[in-house]
Amino acid sequence: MLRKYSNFRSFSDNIKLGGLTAFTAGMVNVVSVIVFFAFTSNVTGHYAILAQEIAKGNWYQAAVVLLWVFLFFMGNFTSNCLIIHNNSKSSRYFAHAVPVLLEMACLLFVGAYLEFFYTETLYETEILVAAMLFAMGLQNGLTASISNAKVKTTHLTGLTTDLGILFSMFTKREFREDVKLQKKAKLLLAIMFSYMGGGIMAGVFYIQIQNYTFLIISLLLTIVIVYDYSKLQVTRYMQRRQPFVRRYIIAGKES
Amino acid sequence: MKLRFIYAIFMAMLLCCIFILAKKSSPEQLIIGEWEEVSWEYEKTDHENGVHVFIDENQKDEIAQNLIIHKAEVWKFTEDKTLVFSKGTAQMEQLKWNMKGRGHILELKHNEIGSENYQIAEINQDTMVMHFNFDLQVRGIVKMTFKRIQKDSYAQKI
Repeated sequence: MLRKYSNFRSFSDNIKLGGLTAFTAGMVNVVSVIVFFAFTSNVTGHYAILAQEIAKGNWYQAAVVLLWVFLFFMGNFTSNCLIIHNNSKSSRYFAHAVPVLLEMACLLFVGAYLEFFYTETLYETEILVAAMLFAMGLQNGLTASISNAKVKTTHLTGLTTDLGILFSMFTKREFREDVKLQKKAKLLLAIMFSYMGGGIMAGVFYIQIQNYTFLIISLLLTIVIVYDYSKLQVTRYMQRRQPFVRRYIIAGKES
Repeated sequence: MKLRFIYAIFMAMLLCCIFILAKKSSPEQLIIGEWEEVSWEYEKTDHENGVHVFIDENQKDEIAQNLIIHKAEVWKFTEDKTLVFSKGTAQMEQLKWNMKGRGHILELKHNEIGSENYQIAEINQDTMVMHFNFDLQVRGIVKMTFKRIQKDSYAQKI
């Protein structure tokens, strides 16, 4: 999911990464709406709210929303910075894993704060929403950057646009039979259903376990990191074993 | 050069935000004080000719029957997050309040009934306008308007 970069990524890599991260994004969004009455993974709405607050002359609220949008921007910025400045073969996995680790740290901080320290003041709410938006920015920046913008886990407006265009293309036979377009549609549908599924599950979990829902989100992100780490370790092990394997094959041929 | 200009705009916007947040009162600070109910109106009704209709006392009682805010005239928000409802000189109810979102949601918590959420459409030094959805006879939004009860300082009195 995280090891490969740009066009070296397979359809399977993208669908696994897209599915899992969209699921977590859906969960984060629903939890933030339940707890804080603010969306944290769809920024389009925040732009509309920002314009509305400016028009009404509510400068305090406008400044808060603008800072939230900026935090989402900073998440994307940080994520891509880490990726492009560590694009060597040896450090690539690490560079791709760090944004996920930072995202986990942000979400665990929010969960822990809610559980142990939250006094429900507006100031705390604003800070915690900002932390969640930063986390979502990190995730969206990572997935979009390493997949060559094929996977955007929180950008449902663009995804629905792409799906609309794709399905209109499928009205022509030549496009219907195009494997590339079929795969694209499958990927987009997987992201859409994962996002929705994540949202529904978050609603169910929050009623049962409340702030511990953040632990489940972090667990899912751990799978994203550990899956590739285990693959990497297997590959390294095989590479280390390769001289012996070769010698064994040559010895087998000689006898 | 162009990039520096863009960075400068970003920095200016950020500084503006920080300045506004430091100088302006948050909705949580603005709400502290005593507020008197001025009017109840249907803000939006489902039928096409949705005009503003004032709600009379009977309708008000019916709408507010199952709500925490029933039949109050004065709402007193205190800094320790307590909201006291009163009518005339009688104190009717006391509960906890919180602000959520960007300061646009007022959450009222009652020990027995649970919590209710109201949307703050407008809040300033003098006026507060709250909306809440209801589904009684006609579906729509009730717009509640409040006026701040000004407490004159000693200097103003003399």
